[in-house]
Amino acid sequence: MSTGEHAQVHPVRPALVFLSLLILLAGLAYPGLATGVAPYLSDVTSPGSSGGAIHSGPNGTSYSGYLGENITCAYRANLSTCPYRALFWTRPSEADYQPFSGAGNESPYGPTDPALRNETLFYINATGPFNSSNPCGIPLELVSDSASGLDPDVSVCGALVQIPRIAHFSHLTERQLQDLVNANIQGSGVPYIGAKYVNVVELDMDLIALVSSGGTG
Amino acid sequence: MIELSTLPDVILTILLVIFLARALGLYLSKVFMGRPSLLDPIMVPFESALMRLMGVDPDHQMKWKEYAVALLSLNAAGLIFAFLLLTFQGGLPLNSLGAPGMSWDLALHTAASFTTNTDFQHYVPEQQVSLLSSMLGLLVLMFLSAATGISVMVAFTRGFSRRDGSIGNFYFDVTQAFTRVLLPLSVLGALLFILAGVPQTLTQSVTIYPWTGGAQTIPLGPVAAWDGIEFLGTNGGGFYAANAANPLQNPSAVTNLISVVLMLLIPFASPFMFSRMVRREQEARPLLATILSIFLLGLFLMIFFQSSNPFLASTGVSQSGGYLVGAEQRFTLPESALFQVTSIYSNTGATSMALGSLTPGAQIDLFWGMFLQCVPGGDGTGFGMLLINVILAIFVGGLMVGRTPEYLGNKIGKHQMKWAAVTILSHPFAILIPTAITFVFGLASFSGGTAAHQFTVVLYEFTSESANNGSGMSSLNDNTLFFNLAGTIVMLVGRYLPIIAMLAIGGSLASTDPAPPGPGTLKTNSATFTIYLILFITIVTGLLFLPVLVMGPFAQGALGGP
Repeated sequence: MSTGEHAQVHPVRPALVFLSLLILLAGLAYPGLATGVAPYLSDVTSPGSSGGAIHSGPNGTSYSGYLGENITCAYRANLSTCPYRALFWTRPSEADYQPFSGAGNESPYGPTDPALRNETLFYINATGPFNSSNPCGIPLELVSDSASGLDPDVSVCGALVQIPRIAHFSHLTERQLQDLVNANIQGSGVPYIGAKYVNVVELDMDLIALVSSGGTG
Repeated sequence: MIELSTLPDVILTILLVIFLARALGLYLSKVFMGRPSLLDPIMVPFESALMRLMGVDPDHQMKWKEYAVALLSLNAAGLIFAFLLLTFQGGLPLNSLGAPGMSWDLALHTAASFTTNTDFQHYVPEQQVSLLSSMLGLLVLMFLSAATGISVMVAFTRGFSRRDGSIGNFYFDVTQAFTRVLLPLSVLGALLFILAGVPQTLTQSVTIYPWTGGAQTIPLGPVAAWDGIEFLGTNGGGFYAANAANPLQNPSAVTNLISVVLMLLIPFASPFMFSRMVRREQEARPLLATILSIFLLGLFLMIFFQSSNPFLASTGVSQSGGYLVGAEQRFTLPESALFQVTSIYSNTGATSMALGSLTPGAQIDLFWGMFLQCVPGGDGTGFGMLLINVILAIFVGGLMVGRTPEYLGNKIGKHQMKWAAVTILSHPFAILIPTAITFVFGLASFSGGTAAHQFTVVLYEFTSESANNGSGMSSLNDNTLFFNLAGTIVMLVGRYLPIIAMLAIGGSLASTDPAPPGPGTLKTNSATFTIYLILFITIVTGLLFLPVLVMGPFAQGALGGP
């Protein structure tokens, strides 16, 4: 070890060299190599997830398994004009589920803002008089903003509570709808980790398929 | 009432962290003492070539001032490079979404933010950052800031056991932190994230045609690689604006737990590394116990306060799953709370919940973590801050019971106390002065909220910037000249003043004569000292910050009565 002053180095050259190394390794090689192996790795567990889990639906449509769609009429006071009244609804979103909106996805209200209570009451009211009989009540997440504004999921209860409304506006029975919800319950895939939930986008695709097949499925 | 179904996975995750951190701590001590270690065969030739290119003799041992100049020069180079990249990204390649060049004040804030390990984002990443800026600018700074923090901790640690006034070679430390710690562990993290379903591509967007009609553009990119260093480096800047709440960045409860482990790994390994390097392994216990008890209390309170919001009770809505406004449905309440407390207490600052929507108790809980900065705090600097608190506690405790203030055979004197006091006091100054200026001159505009909420949001902004945390509450319009410039100053002070203090204290300890333990020495490896340390940190921080909390979150809570 030498502690002498003679060995002091001017700090500019090492800084520039080290920064260049970081740019090459951390900025290019690291994300580049990860991208190279990603398709193969993600195929092991969930194919397509490295590209955003884009799946194709019927009639040339497509969707991302990770993202919600703006399937809700919680903003409207009048169900009769709602195109989605016979479908399961996603949570309300400040961003209308636009994945690019970025800012302003969150609720602007603090936890004790009277506007939050009013908004919650409005959404509860908008989900209609059809839901009051459900034993699990109207769960908060169904009538409140998520953190991302893109959350595709509601709790199992949040799907079940919508069944009377959908049964009223479609020719399906509550029993059929319950079976549909039960068939769509998902988790993290690992036992004891994560919540049980229903992906509303996928649930509605199954619902639409069931309706178009005549509801006998 | 409290939703506890997944509490077991939360507890197991924390146990796993401690187990892994112990092994990592041993590894870190070998790496930074220059002992043989795992990656030698691959890295040694590469590192020697790099040292020659830099023109650096890695055996040259620096005094603290030389160390600080080297550190600041490298950080300045990174900041300037990212600033230029962000300013001119509009005309540079890999910008298929057409992100325009940032205004100079926003580019300055962003570059300073990622250089200081804060990663506060006054911009919308989806719209305002090109792939080139993300990779060559921000990703690079996330590695640089974490490597800088680790280097500081290592140099500070050396001060406790050396006697020749030197604290190591910065270029050796920062290289080892990158090649032996951050790069290999980030690669591992990125691969785990890919396996668990996080997107990883160099395509910048994909268009889908949802059955609800129209077309939607989904922003994509190297998200898994980004996640790896975002969490491991306790950086916390999101690839997306919604950060770890966005399902593309944190798609499942599994990726949520991987993130938690990565965030806690290096901060929890630090006490183990420290105790090995000062050759007193028992001394890890009081430090780890202090970190763990305050952290676990914070986690418990978060779950408790988020289990329901009494303010909404009259609406008749069911809160059986917890108070889920601003939370994501794929995580249970304990899992969301674990992520959020981990992220704030480790000064990562990533969010998986909407912080402005949290109940007042939960908001106070998060403020508390940022006021303390050391339970566990960010990579390297968090542990350094804990050591500064230990020095203060020993000095004050020694005076109270009439013992000589000594720690690990080092006499704590006027010089160390001066730097420690300046560091502790700089935090409230950097938070309260700009908050006061904001309201006195009416410089803030909001998208909504009550007066108490708006005060909370601004207080949170500067607390987060001074703590180099980087989380924020969304209702403040913060991309303004004032918030960009004030924020830049607060972040730089909050980062480099403590770093200089840590190096100076380390250097001065290394220059003092050893103080062999005598009958008057305060025993630091004991339950009594641990309890004293916890109380000392709590009381000092409480005295500094409780008054200002009354005007923000406490006032919000008072409005939410029955």
